[in-house]
Amino acid sequence: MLKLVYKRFIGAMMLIVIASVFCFLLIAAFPGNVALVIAEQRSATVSIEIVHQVEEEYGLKDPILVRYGRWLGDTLRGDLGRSLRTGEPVGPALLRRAAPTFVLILAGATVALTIGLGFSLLGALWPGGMVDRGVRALALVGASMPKFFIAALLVYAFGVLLKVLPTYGFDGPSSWILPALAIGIVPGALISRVTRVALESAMSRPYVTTALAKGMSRGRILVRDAVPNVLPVVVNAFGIHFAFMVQAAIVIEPIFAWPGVASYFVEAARFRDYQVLQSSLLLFSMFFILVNFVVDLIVLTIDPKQRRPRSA
Amino acid sequence: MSTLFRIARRIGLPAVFLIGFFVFVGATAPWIVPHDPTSQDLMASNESFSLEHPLGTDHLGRDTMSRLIMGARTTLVAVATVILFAMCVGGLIGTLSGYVGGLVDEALMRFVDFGLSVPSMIVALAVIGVFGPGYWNMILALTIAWVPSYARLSRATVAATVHQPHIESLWVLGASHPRIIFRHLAPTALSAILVYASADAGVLALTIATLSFLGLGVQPPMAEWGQMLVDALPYLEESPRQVILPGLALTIMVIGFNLLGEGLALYRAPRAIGAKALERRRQLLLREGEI
Repeated sequence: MLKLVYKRFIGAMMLIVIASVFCFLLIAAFPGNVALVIAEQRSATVSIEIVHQVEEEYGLKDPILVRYGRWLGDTLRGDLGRSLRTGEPVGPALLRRAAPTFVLILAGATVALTIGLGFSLLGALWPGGMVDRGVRALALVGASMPKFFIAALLVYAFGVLLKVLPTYGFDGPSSWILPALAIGIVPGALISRVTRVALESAMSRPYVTTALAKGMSRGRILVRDAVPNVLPVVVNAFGIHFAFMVQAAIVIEPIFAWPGVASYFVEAARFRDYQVLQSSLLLFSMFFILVNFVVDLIVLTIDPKQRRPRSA
Repeated sequence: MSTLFRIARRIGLPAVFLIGFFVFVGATAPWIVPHDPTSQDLMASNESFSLEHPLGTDHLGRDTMSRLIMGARTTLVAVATVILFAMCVGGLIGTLSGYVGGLVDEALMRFVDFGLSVPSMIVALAVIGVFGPGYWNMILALTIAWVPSYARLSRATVAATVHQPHIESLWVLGASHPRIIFRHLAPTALSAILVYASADAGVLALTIATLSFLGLGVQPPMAEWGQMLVDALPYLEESPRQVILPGLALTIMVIGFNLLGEGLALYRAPRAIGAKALERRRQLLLREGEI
């Protein structure tokens, strides 16, 4: 077990190193004119002198390995550079914007897990019933809907027609409801679909028939015997959809004027703010690699089957 | 004709008809639009349904139906281009990786692992941020973001076939490396890749719309659904249909692609199996998250 954890950990660390190489290469090696863009942002009239000055200042003429080493060193020390657009240090800006994104993801995950677990249990209690069919339809249609369309429909229903919820901004729990729903409904329906299939196969096992024959209620068997058996499936599905929710934040945050990391990233892409792009891409990559690692660990803990070596 | 129909029925008639409809509309778009999709008429902005404009007009008085039709073309062309590029580059990397093996395989696959661990839209956004917004930059960004999954998939199929007797005997017979790769390994990988691509097209269509929604993908005079939706958002209260119509069109197209992917994955199942076995296989694929 420990050896497996160790192996996964080394794998995750290697991925982070590759992520740093990718982030660095993307910004540093691809476009030939970083200095020109910086110079353009600095003054209205660009002359060769200014470009040379910028090159000098950022050390853009140094060999690529030297630049990678310097960038990595700065990053490890927590110095993520300054935004090219606003001149504001990137590190503190990212930290300040982490909290709203965290709230959004957490609220969305709550919605997703509630829908995912709740509806799959209800569906398994009454197979083929209203809830069962409804969730299946929602999963099929919802997975095919663009996130911004779902958000727009929610805004229209609750903000324009009913006028009960605020449709933008980040102040107080009532403004969290619509973004959380927009981000969590579809992952919830998808998790519930996968869980439902797993529950069904668990409920067709002989031990369930035995328990039913002994007179135990369906609900009790479901909670006591079937649910522990499908937990790895739920955790895995949740892990996958968790990553998708962070990705969805990229479009949900701008729609609801949410002051989070994702909208910062979109702004950076819009204004070609290399410094911000590089740091936030590295941050996102590390985050996803860590989430994968943690999901692996949880699955290892709750699913004894995974602990056996694959070849045996 | 009847063979074609049988194949279509096995894949699933709804999927074939939906995608067929969109492909037909997209292919004939410039000739079937009732109005010029880019001509503005500010006197007739945000109009409701009428005979002149069957689906109304947008905030600049452009005919919504014409823009929806052109949008289908834009999306399908972009999706096809990205899949073609990603398939070629990713297929080549994956086949090479699986064929050569060893250190090359290790190194390439670590990069692929990284690409797969970060959601493709984030990678695409970063690339667009570097090169600037625009149609071809979007295609480039999406190709970069989509290559890893195709590389992984073709590597898996090639690695599984490369040690089989028929490939090993080719090697003994003295067939050249390119011959083995292109005549024998690539075709095997291709069928798996095509099935994957048809399901993947839906995700790609969504990503293209999302990038355009953010103003970083398809640029104005071209009509695109995500962009139509974002243009209409400020007028959500007075004319919600301008928001709902493009969203609906995109949703239906993506449902079509998803059904098609599911149908093709089933179609590849061993022949002559009954409805029950097909359903079992569907459940299996579902559990493994393949469809």
